[in-house]
Amino acid sequence: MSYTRSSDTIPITAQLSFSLFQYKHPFIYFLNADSNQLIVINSEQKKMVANIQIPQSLYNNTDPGGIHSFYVHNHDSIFLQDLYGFSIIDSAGRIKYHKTINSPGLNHWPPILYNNIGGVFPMYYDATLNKLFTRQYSGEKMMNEKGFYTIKVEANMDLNDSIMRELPVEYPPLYVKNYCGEANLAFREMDDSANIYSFMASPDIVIYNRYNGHVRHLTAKSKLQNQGFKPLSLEYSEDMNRKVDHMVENPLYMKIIYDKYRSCYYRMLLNGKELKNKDGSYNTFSDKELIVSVFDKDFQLLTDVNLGSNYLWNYSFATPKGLYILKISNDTYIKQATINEKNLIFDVINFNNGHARM
Amino acid sequence: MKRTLFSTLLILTMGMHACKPKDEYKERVAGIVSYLHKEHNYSIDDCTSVLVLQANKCNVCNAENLQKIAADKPLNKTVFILSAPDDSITAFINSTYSNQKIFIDEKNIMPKYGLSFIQNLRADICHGELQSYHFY
Repeated sequence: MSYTRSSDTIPITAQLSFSLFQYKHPFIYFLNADSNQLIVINSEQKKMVANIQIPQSLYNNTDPGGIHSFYVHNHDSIFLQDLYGFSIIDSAGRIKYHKTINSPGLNHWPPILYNNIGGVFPMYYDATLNKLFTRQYSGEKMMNEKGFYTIKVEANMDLNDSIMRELPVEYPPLYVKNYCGEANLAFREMDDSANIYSFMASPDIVIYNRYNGHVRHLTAKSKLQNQGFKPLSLEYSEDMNRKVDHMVENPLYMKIIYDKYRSCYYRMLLNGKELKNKDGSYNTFSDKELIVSVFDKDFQLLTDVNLGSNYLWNYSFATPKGLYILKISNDTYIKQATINEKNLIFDVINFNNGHARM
Repeated sequence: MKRTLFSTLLILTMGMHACKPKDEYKERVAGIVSYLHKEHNYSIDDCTSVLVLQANKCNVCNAENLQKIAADKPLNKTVFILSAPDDSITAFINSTYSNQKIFIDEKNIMPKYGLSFIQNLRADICHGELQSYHFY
């Protein structure tokens, strides 16, 4: 399987500090966390076409304030998730629905919290099921406690009865047996019928069928993974510098992207990197090389590509033109503040294979 | 509780946590001497407190942490290295210290010397030798 790499620049007409995004052809929705606006950009016309102000009541007086997740179903049904609840607004910013889901007690949170922890597990609305899917996690256990990893990772709320129901998907056993440091994020992607889960420390994935409830456990390992994941001693659980070093040294599986245009999946791997090079210089997290593995619809590995170290893997999505991944500018200051740039420069990776519909 | 709720991926947001420095950082911290000499043509001939401030990492250089740093008396001379330009931090330094020198890691070279930490750092150096260090 071969691939081509090209570039596409998306101009941003206003200073934009985005923390969350969604691609829905041909639009890219960015949540500007500073202004609490949803910026809508037409990626083909290359211009901003709408600017939706999120009602102040949804981000004011919260701790911390702001929208933690959003999902655009259509312009009249924009789902928002803040610290305490779900809301639906329309493109004029009017609130059409609100439901409190995380009600803190006097001095404590409930045992289960529903929120986009880590910012990498956005909510999703399935219109056929009329259910809203969200990350869930322990409100009582710390992330260095085994109990945190025994909680199911996702729940859904049926909008007909507003009851939360957890899904039968758990962290891989290695998280319960070992301490994995900060390599503890769970990612979830949606395809036409399934939720696909990836965990940073494990090559294994979980596939949950939303319509029949079946759960499958598979391995989706990159052939380019250069070493096994090594757990961290629990004695370092308060040592942030050591935890960052641990993230540099170890291979980390990140998000999975479903490409509906080519009926395949991309899995991101940040390969392990030695802290110190032979010439005496040191590596940091940004030096980790990004591997993109392509899997077919049955999660058989088709190919692996090492893209190098100049990508912001989180800002990636599949389009009719190919896989978009935000590129880091060569300018070192821009490297520190790419999210504030006026032009977003994406690499467009196009994999050519027998499965492609191009 | 709050940390469980808001603990986020370090790549996206970097929080501030206290920690006990470990000897494993000694070699890296000592890289300050080489960094200052090679990148800023500055040699430490006497006893100097070098403060590395992570200006571009979220919430590491908040007012509370800067006050903690200022509460510890430095050695005879004080050198600051900012990981990125920051007017408010520079103003704080200039209003709090005298006879200080400020360097800015404009080319983002410090990480290559092993000086990429998630916390602010104070290193006391005498005649080019690291005497002690502390994270804030």
